[in-house]
Parts: sequence; C-alpha cells; structure tokens
Amino acid sequence: MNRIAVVLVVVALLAMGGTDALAQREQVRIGISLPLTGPASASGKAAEAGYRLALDEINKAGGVLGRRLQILIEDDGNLPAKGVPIFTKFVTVDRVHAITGIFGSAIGVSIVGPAKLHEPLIAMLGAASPLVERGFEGYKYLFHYHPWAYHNMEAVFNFMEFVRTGTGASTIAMLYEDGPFGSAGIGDTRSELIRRGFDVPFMESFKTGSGDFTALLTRAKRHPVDVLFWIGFDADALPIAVQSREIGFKPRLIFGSPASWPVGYEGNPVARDVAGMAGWTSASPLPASKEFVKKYQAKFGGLTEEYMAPMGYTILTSLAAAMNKAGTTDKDRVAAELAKTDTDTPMGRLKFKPSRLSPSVYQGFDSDLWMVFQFREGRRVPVWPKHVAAGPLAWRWR
Amino acid sequence: MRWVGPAALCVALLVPLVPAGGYQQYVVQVATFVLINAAVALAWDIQARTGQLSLAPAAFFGLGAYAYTMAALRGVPLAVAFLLGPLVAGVVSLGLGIVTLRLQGLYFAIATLAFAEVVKVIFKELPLDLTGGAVGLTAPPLLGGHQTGLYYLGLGVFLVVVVASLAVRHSRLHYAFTAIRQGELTARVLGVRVVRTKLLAFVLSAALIGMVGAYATSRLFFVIPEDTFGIGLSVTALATAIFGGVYTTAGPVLGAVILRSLEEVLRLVLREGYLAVYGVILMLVILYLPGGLVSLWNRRSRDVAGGD
Amino acid sequence: MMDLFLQTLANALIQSGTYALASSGLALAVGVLHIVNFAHGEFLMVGAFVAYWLSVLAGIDPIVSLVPAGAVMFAASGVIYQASIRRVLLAPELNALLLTFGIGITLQNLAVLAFGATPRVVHTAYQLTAVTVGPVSVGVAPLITLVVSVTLLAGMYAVLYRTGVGKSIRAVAQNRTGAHLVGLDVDRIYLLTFGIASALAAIAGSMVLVRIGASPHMGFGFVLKAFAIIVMAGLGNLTGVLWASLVLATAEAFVRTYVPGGGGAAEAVFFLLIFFTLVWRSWRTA
Repeated sequence: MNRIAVVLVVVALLAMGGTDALAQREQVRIGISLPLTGPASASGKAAEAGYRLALDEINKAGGVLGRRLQILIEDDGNLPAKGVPIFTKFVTVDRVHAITGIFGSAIGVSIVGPAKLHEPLIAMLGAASPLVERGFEGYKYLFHYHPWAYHNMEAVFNFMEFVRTGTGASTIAMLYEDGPFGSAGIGDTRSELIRRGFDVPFMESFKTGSGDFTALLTRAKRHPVDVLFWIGFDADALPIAVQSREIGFKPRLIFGSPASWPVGYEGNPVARDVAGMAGWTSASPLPASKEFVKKYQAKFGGLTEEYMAPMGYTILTSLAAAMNKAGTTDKDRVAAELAKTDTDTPMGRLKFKPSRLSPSVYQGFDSDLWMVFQFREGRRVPVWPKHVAAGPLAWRWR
Repeated sequence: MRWVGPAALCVALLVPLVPAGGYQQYVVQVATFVLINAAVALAWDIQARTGQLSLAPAAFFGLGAYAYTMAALRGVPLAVAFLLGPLVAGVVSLGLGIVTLRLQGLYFAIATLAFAEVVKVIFKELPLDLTGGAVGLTAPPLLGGHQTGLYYLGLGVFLVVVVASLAVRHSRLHYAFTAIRQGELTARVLGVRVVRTKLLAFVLSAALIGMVGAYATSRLFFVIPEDTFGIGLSVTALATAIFGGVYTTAGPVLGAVILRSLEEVLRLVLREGYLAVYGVILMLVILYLPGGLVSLWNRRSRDVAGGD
Repeated sequence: MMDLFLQTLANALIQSGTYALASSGLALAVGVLHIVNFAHGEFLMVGAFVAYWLSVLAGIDPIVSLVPAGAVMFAASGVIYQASIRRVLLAPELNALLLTFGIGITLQNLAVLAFGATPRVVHTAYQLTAVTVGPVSVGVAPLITLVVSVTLLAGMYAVLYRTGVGKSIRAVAQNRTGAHLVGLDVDRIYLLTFGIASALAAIAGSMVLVRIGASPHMGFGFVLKAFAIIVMAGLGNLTGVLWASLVLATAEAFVRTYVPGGGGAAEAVFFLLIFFTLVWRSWRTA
C-alpha cells in the first residue's frame, strides 16, 4: 500500500510541476543541467552565475524573439542517474527550446540515447572526453563549446614550445591523476611531446586528493627536469608544490592544469610563479573579458576566477543571439544560425567548426581557448599566449 | 495484505502507459534508475541475510558492466554479452567467496572493499585497447536503445532479483541463511551446510548484481572504472537496504523507491542544501524505525513476509 | 641507490604519520563502541575547517588549532552521541552504519552550503621548511604530523593502560554487560570514548589542512584507508594501528618509487596487502 501511495504522491507532485510549465509555454525556455552538489559543484555554481548574468542581460535587452527568456536550472550532481532523467524532463516535460549545461563526461555519454531519440538542440558546457565526441557521432544538433581533451593537450604542446623557445627547457616530468580527467590520451601526449623533441624521462599517475606525492617527486628528482607538468584537481595543487620543496626537487617551472585552484592558494608563498593553464582569468586583457568582469562585479559584488562562469555566460548569450537571428525557435534554423556564430567572447573568438572525430558535431573553442598564467604577488598574471600576456614567464630556483 | 506485491507489479508494468502527460518519459527514466538501485540493494540484501556485510557490490556491478561492454564491442551478440555479465560476476565471486570464507564482520567487509578497489585499479591499468583504461569505453545499447523497451527489460532484470529473493525466502534456504546469521556454530549444530550455503548466497548475489551491471551499462552507454566500480555504488546499496529494512524482499525495494522520491522532492522544494536534509531524514528514520521502513508495515500485520 | 632507498624510507615514515593519525580515532570508536562510524571522515573535515577559519580569521597556526579543533569536535560529538549514537548501540549493527552515513552526508552538505566545494588552503611559516639529514630531506610540517600522531597514540596508550578511566574503557570494550555488572557507567564511558575518538579525527583534520587543505569532500578518501588500516591492525588494537600504517605507507612508497607505473599501482598494492593479510590471518588461525 505504501508503495502505491508513494507512486501516487510522486505522480501528483510531478503533475503540479506540469501545470507550471503549461502556464509558461509561450516563453522561450532553455534547460540547464549543472552539478550544484558534490565535488564538481564549484564549477557548476560558477557556470550558474554565468548563465544568470547572461539571462539578466538578455532580458534587459528585450529577451528572445520579443519575449522574456526563461531558464530552468536543475542539479544533476554530476551523476548520470540524475542527469539522464533531467535531460529527458527538459525535452518531454518542460519542452525547452535548447538544453545546455552538462559538465561531466559521464553524463555527456549517458544522454546519447535520449538525445538521439528526441534530437534536441544541445549547447554543451563541459564533457571533454573523447567518449562523448564518439558517442554523438552523426548527431546534428550538438554544439560542444568546451575544447576536447586533445585540444587541451595541444595547448600544452604549444605552451611547452613557447617555454623551450624562451628558455631552452626541454625536459618534462609528468604527473597525471588516474581518473578519466587526467588520463585521457595520456600515452599520445607523451609520444607527441617526444615527437616534438622534448625529453619526457618521467611520467606517473597518482590518486587525486591523497596528498602524498613525496615518493613520486623523489623519483622525478633523479632526472634533470626543467618543467614539472601535472594534470589533476584543485586538492592536488598545494601538496605538489609543497612536497617538491620538502624533498628538494627543483624544477624550473611547475605547471598544472586543474579546472580550478584552491581558495587561498594564490596568497601562499609556495604558489609563487607556479604556472596554471586556464580557460580564462579575470586578469585577461581582452576587451570582452574586461566588460564581463565589470558586469559580474556589478551583479555579484565580487570577482571569480572560474572559467566556467564566462563559459556559461558565453553559451547563453550566443544561443539567445542565434535564436533572435533565426527569428524562430525552430531547432534547425537556430542551429544554422548558431553554426554561423563568429563573435568575440570573454574567452576569445568563438567560431564553430566540424568536430575532428565526429564531423556532424559543431565544435566551439579549441586549443586556442587555453592560456597560461603564473601566480605572482597573490594574483594571476597571464604569461601566454602573447595576445593576452601581461608579463614575462618567470623562471625560478636555478 | 497479499495483494500488495502484485499490485506494485501492476503499477510498475503500467508506468510507461500512465497518462502522466508530458511527464511520462521522465517518469520512465526515473523509474528505470529506481529499478536499478532497487535491484542492486535487494541482491546485496540476499547475501546480507547470511550475516556477512559485503562491500563488493561495486566490483560485481563493474565486472558485469565490463563483461557486457567488452564482449559486445568484440562482436559477440548482445544477448550473449548480456548473459556474460552475471556469468563473469558469478565466477569471480565464487573465487572471492572461497578465499574470504572464514572472515567475519568488519574483517569480511574490509576484505571485500579491498577486493573492489583492487579490481578498479586493475581495470584502469589494463591495456588501453582492452578496457579503455581510465577513460573507459562506450557501450552499445540493448534493444537498439528503445526507451520503453529498456524500461521493461529493466523491470525484467529487477523481477529476476525479486524472484530470487522470494525463492530464498520461501525455501529451506531462508532458515539456513538466518541460522548462519545468528551464529555459524549453532547453524552447524542444526545441520546447516555453512560453507556451501554462504557461498551460494555470495555467488547468487554477485551474479544478480553483475546482471544489473550489464543492464545498467546498456542504459548508460559507458563504462569508466572510476564510476562503474565506484565505492559509492556499494554504499548506496547497503544504505538503501538498511533504510528500507534488511533481510526482506520489500525493504530494499521500498528503500530505493522512497529514497529516490525523497531526493527528487527535496530537490524540487529546497533547491539549496537539500542533501543535508536528506541526511537528517536518513538519521531520523533509522532512529525511530530501527527495522527500516518495512517495520511500519510489519507493525500492522506481523505475519507478512517480513524478516526473521 | 642508497640515497633513494633512505629517502623512500623517510617518505614512508612521514606518510605513516598521517595514516596513523587519521586511523587512531576510528580504531578507538570501533574497538570500544563496536560501531562502524562512516562519519569519521566528516569529523576530520570539521576539524580541518575549524583550524582553517582560526588561521584565516585569527591568524592561529593549525598546529595550535588542533587543540580548539579537537575541543569543538569533542563537544559536538557529545551532542551527536546523546542525540543519536547511543540509541543505536543496542540495535542491529547495520543501523549504526546507516545512521553515521546520514550524519556524514548532513555534515558534508552543510559544509558545501557554508563554504562551497572548492578546497581552501592555509599558509604556515614552516610549510616550506625542510630538514635535511645527509641525503634525506623531509618537510617540517609532515614531521610535526608524525610527532603529533606518535605522541597522541602514546598518550592514548598510556591513558588506556595506566589510568582508571583507561581501565574502565578497556573493560567496557571487552564486555559491556560485565562492565555494567561491576558498576561501571557504560553510557558515560561510551560518551567519553566517542568524544576522544572524534576529537582525534578533528586533530587529524587540522594536520591534513596544512598538507592538503580543507574541503567538504576531503574525508572519504581518508576514512576508506583508515578502515582498512584498523582492520589490518586488528579491531581494538591501538598499537597495531601504528605498525599497520607504517607497513602500508612503506609498501606504497616503495611501489611508487621502484615500480615503473607504480603511481597508479600503489593504490592497488595498499588494498591487496590488506586483502592478503586478512585472508591469510583467517586461514592461519583456523
């Protein structure tokens, strides 16, 4: 009896939500699926702020197709078991005109089924794994804004070549976390670095969050390492820098690519001249970025360093612009307009190209998105590439 | 109250046909994941009835998922690949069961946990073209990815677990399981073949979880060691079963339905911090209903297929 | 070669300090109260955040903060014990598991609400200092962790085996009913033990803060390993925690240092070692 009662309650609750959706059917609606709980929620919350900022701006400027734009934000917890039903709900219940968000690759892959069934317009926020790219092969309505994992690596190669040109450094030790984030294409990365004439005498995986790097760094120390390159998460940033010092391992540059950095890291002396790869920093000299920072401060009263904030902002802004240009919410026409996007964003130029492994997918940012900054005097100073650099690359300890 | 089970089954059968308006497909999706959780929790419970707290469900789930995916990607017919899930999980669990036979309580729990963690690392470290390494593999969908069809397949998978649970409950095995749980020595005195019974429970449970793993993967389209072998799956299974009421068939199922509904409702109502409230509710339920949710039920009619 | 060997040994010793500290409280709780405390990692997290805010707002060093962090968690765990834990002690043991799981989820998500999910790090004067002895170089911060954990374990051992309270605790751990029969206030002793165990978690948290940082989700990885360590040590065996930590940390360090690809395999070796120890022990004693 209880079970039946429960089912009835659930159905009733869902139906109540349904009348809501009915009342607003004439608006243009965009569904946003984000990790607002769990370890990925820092990125999810940043993206949410970006989306909300864009929403305000769009509606102040007259909305979409003369109507107020409405966004529906759902917490997927970065879990497929939540993300898949949310995706389906957006399509079948809320009847949204486009779906965006989707941060983790696991959800990115697991929505392939429902996506192919309903073929909604998707403007994907994250999900950089090649599994997602291959999963969406042949799909015509996916706009993948974030660079793929191999783009990230291309940026690393380019930066390394810049470092070599400036300093002669050519020996790289690599540490990567053993999950899908750090391990995607890691073998190819090494062979590509070697093909480009770098020496990679040391490469090891680690478990993120464990905080114990001394053994691995002790081994790396035995090689004449110029650059220590690590791929991991925010929790690994402090232990890597600190423990290198502790055991007397002195690479000339510590260079990492976590999606975000710990709070308070920039003010820690150990962070001095540590280099980080980022999709964006608030110190970016790009005019669109400066404008974004100003608007962000006006709305939220503080700064952000999370690149997911301008990413969310960029996605919603470009989506609304495409709908307005198309003059309709018809997904084919909106997709056609979105595909023509060629605009300045806080993160640089956005222009869609056929994706490398799955050409039907529209790929937005590529390796050019990435920039490298160094922590200096408690701030992030962009040092690469040249058009965003605010200072020279600093070398330490030799 | 004998009609409750069949009635619930009718509801489950009708889920995709309920005229829930636009909500229909959403309900089907949520229901599918509830079925998966319920099936894993119930399969875990079957083994828990022998008094052994296993933290290896994630390993068997993952083995089932990988067996299906790796076979399917190598051209094995999907139906066969699907059956490989329970088979591989069952065979591996037999080995693990024999080795850990003498371990009790927390020692058994940690040994199974350690096993699950080791299996996860092995799948991460195996050659890329074999398991896809840490990045994982995309899995082909069963039934061409037909949503309603997959729901019914999920229901079928779930029913297999329910039938197994009921079969155990209504056979002499029930007494053997219960006796072992209350003390192996006593059980032996009572003439229970302890070793054989414990192994049977362990392998049965693992094979069922492996089957769910194969099914879930065909539904999620991927295997990634970090997720597919994630310890969270084991913890969820036992939390669900305890919440609903252990050593019963209804308990873990009820637990899965209520926990998911609870989470969805809290999320819709509170938006911020709903998981904190969810945690408080878990605490309150176990404090005031020490037998889990089913004890509400059994309080009213003590003769129903309750625990022991 | 000798240099590398010695450095690896030092690394192992250092890491075992963190392991022992994170596990000792759990060993006490499991050994005396016979409950599996899934919230132990979240207690550690609470300690880390207390030390974090004391450092940021009042400039107090986390080494000093381990006292207030331990005190806060000692008091909080008293409330938690009175309101919940004591009520499941006589229930089936699985109930404590779900209860503490609920406590853990609640604490974790309250922390997310209050502080966000991004880790937070502090700066201490000795964070960048290392002691060099011959070819071996060791950080001061982890050295302090090691000293703290050895001191605390020694202190706990002294309390348990040299004082009246310790005797009572051991009596309750061995036989609840018997202890009750000879007139011990079992409930009070449980309250005290749970408080000490939780305070130890918080102290571990303030040490982890110096090494890694504080974040709502930091606890789980530690508690998973802590469970493995106390089980390998043998439930209720406090000194065993020290050697189990040392053995496991040594195995990890040597695999990481000497095995190519050992970075990923170390995790497996850690659990494989525990698996074989448990299995081997169970068959040997049979």
